[in-house]
Amino acid sequence: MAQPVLAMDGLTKRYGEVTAVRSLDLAVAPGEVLALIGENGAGKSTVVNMIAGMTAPDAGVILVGGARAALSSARAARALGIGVVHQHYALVPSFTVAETVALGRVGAGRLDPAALAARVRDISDRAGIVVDPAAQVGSLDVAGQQRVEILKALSQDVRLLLLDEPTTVLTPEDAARLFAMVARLKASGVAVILVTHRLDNVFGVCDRVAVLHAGVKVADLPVARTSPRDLVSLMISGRTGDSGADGLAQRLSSEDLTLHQPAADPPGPAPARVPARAAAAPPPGPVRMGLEGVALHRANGSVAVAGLGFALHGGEILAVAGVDGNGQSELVDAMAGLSRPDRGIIRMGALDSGQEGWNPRALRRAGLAHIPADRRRNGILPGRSLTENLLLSRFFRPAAGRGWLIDRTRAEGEARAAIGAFDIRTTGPAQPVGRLSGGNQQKLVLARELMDDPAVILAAHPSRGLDVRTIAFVQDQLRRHRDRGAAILLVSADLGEIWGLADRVVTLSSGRARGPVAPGDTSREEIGGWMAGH
Amino acid sequence: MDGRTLNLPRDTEARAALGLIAAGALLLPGLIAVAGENPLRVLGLMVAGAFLDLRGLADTVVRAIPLCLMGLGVAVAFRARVFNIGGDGQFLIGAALAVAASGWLVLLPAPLGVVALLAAGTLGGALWGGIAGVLRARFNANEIIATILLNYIALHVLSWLIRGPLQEAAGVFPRTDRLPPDLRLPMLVDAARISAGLAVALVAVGVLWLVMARSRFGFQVTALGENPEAARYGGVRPGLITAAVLALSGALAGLAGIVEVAGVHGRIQDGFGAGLGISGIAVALLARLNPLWVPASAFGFAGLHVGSATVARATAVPFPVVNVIEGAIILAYLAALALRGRQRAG
Repeated sequence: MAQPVLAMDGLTKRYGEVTAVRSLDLAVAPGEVLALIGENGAGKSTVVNMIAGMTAPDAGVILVGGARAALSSARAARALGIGVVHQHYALVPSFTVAETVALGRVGAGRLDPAALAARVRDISDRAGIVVDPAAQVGSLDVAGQQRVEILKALSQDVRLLLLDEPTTVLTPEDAARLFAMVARLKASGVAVILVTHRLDNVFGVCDRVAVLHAGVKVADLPVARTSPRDLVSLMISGRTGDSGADGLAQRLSSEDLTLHQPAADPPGPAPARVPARAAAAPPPGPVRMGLEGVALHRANGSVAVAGLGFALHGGEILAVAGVDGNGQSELVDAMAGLSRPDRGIIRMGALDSGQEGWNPRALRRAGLAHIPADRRRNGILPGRSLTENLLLSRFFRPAAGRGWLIDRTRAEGEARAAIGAFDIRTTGPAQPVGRLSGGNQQKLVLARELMDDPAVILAAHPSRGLDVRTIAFVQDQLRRHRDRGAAILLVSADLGEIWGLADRVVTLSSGRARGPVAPGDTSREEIGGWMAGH
Repeated sequence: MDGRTLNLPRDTEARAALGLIAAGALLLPGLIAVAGENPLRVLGLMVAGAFLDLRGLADTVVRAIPLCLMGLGVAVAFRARVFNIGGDGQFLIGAALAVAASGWLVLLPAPLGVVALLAAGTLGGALWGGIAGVLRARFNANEIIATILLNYIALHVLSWLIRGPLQEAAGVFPRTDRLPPDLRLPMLVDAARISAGLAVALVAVGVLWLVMARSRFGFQVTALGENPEAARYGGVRPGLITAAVLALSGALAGLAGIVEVAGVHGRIQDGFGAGLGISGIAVALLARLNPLWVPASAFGFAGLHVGSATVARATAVPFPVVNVIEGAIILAYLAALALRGRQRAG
């Protein structure tokens, strides 16, 4: 291979006790298109941030054009010819395309609009990007804004273009246009790194694919020598020939396995059909929550999901499978009362999403619990005590106090009980939860959401980022509440978890919903394929 | 990023508070030296004038009463990260509404009249704060700008009132008539002019502590200030709580206004209560937004104020040195806040 444009050598990044990326070696040659794939949390974003100069590695070096580079800032990375198009755009809506491209590139003095427009036209012609330099950025659709971001990245001499999840928000036609541009850049000798979780992107445009699993590069091979099935397996479990990730089998104790996973499920290649649980399963209970014709939009206006409908029964775990970013968070937000669907209706008991009172408190009063995907952002008050955090979604309950006052003694008693029951490692109920480890924070959230025996549980990635023991514990809790009669919606990208827990599965991918199907009526390969967008 | 960098632990907060005091303490001698006086002598004069002299001490307590109430209001709002800068306007409108109603309130039996007067002041402040609250909750109007603008409106409304409908019967000066004796707050220490306003302020401290530390409402206020996303997730209705916080914060400023009228001056005149709003912010920040610390902080600032007046009389150091110190404390707080935000983002 020619002198690589960019080479990473033993790159490691830790966040506290979590190692996001572990001694990563990765290189990309001029005119090469490299796909970097992996599940959410596999470390892709960390790699992107290190290349973009936004995060400093703890160990290892980055070589640009063979020379050791100090990528101490986004500006430094730009100066070395690294152009980055982030997943979230940073655009000024009232600026024109030309002004946006000029932003941060021009010094003091007068701005020559004609020269600027000519320059923008020149760049866009070279890359084959169709965009009007005089158009206002705010008037463009998502794909148009992305083209502006790409123009920005290309506006100085770029040797490497890094695209972070570029197709998540694009229609197939816009994605095809993007790939045509990538092909032109490739022909002109620019190296491209495409960070994605969509396999069709990999096979559509890339030469080589590197797979990250839990911060470790588990594969790095020419695209021609792999298959979608292998890649799904690598993303999920870090190994090929294992699309269902029997990793769960290793994580759980043998007792759990005999209880919940029939012994007939051997490790290695997954059997085509796997029963979800023992035959003596209780029949589905009453409908606790129902969705009809639900359409959801992302914050940026693109369609996340359309035409989604299912009923969530008491006594079942309904899994929503899919790689993150396909509408799961929008779905959970709408079901939790944090937002309303753009079309269709969600019902829970006497409440429906068309009512004024569709909010978290009303739904929680009706028996809803919500384990949020992003516990740091949504689930906890980091500076407050365990006791206060256990009150967060429960302070309005009559039992939490008398009249307008909160019963602190009782709350502290509950906190002590939760610490014991959920084995939360803490110095006591008064410790601020920001000081707890991630796993203990998740146990706290779990304790809070489950302690009042809710009728409906929305569990978004409840075991993501946790250690083996805690995962087993979390899954066990969900089973217990299912068996108690709760209706559980489990959002997960981990097929192993889904197979171990779910009674029915819905997949969300590329704006489409498929299912629900019973795991026994499908195969991990099929679900994995659906997740990958096939 | 681990928990230690994400949340600001209590000891860091305490260190920040000490840092603020130290910064102020260092700034003061420097400024005095600039004014051409011996800092030690001036400091001695200041402390003696504010705390050691009986008269000065009495003045300090009188001054601390409105500062304490204003500081409580600011503390409540800032805890929810609702930045109510409108204490001055709420103070004035509270006082004005109560004085306007005094004609009717005087007809009530004696102790009831005073209570109703205080309630009217509280209501006036709550209404004025509530306007900003509704603007924020309904239209997402920035409460800082709204409350500042409402300050100007209040100032001019009051200026008109004391030259128009509420002007004294004699019609000479731009001021209201004195409140009838039945509506004045009784004096606790007659010679020192310390009124029952002191009791009102201390009761308010107790009530506010109870509300903030023990009530469902206070919990929501704290949650909203700590993590708005998590608060919404947990069932807090942010609009409702924000509006309520601004109304409550305004209510305390309004109460301060009428306590100042009924306890000290007896009437409203031009320039009444000027600068108390900013002082209230400094008081709340130094108390680290904890209602229980507000009285101590208010007492300290009142002493600074009274002591500076003594100093200004005896030396070349001008009185506005107090304002410089207050401003420095607020700036230091904002700097700490910005640093903290940066830590969070990083």
